[in-house]
Amino acid sequence: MGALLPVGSGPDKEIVDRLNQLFSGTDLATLRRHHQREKLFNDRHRLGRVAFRIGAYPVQDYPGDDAKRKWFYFLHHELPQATHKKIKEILTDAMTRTSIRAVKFSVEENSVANHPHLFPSDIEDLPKYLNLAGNTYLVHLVVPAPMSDQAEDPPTDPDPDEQSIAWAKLKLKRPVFRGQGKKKAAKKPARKSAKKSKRY
Amino acid sequence: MLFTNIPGNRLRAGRALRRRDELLRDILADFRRTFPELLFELDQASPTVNAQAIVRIDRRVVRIYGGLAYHAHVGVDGLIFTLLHETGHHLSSGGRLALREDLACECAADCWALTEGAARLKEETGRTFVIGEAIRSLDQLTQPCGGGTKADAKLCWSMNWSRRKRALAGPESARSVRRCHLPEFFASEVNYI
Repeated sequence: MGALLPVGSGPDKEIVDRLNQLFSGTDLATLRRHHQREKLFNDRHRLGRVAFRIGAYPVQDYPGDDAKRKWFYFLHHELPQATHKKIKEILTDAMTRTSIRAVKFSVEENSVANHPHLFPSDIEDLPKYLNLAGNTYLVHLVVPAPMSDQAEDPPTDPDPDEQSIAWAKLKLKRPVFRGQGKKKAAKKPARKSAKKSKRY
Repeated sequence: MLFTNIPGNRLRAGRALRRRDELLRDILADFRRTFPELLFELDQASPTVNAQAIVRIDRRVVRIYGGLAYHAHVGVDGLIFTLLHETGHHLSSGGRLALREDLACECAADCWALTEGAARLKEETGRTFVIGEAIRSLDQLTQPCGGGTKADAKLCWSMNWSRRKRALAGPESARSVRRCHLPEFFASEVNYI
């Protein structure tokens, strides 16, 4: 999703980017491993609670916009049940089918829509949400208007059978400076030439 | 689209509104002719002051929302630049968004809009725009947003409106990055529980 304004970032962009990161690459692999122990997107799990647990919410400060709490209000009260159900269905499939490389999220405002829904609708078969290559789910949410200022705290009470998610640990790489590699490379040929001169 | 919105100063009625309707119709017709591979949509009723490049499964779309399209402070130059920028997200071959590789990043979209995009539009329809005027009108909209933080601005000029304005005014000095890692940078700041 590319938008002209606000310059740089906004909560929409932040949450979309966050979701896109979580459902691709190493984070997707982590969620898939966890899914073998706990079915994150079954009927017993609330989408808002899962979003809170996996960090799928805006964290930056936006003056005049309680983005984090508005996001949880949106997930709890404004996202229709049919959309909830279809998103969970898509994500559950992405957890189990390794041919799916990623789930990509985007949002569009459309004043013609009566309520939030997935594009093209909430009742399509799963293949209809795949990209043309068939390896990425496209969760494109259509919303009728920007959210009101209603907000609520994230759900802190656990869902049944919750287990902690073992995220991949950060690995710090030793920095390589420009000069280092070249010096070593320059030394080696000198040694070889020295050996050669001894042989002859 | 869900969150913060810039307060709009929308044309309400009368001759100015009729003229804006005609202007938008003409501009969108020119864009549809020049870039037939894209779908251009105007959401008249929307109060949102923004425009967006989106991918709907098999269709690439540029949407301009009513709050921006009918904004009293945005003139023809601002509208053309906005649409070219969004088109650039789809058609620029430059830097990609790290987490959405089917779209070009902000700086690549800007560079494309000012060069290839503007040239194609002029060649096909004769329509041109003055970037100085576009900046002046968008300037009035972006001030309330405040732009990105200092840390963001270090990563890319497109993240800070002041630097972006300078880059737009002198595009030859603005470098476009190959792959935009800003989304990863922001996402890495999230704390897990």
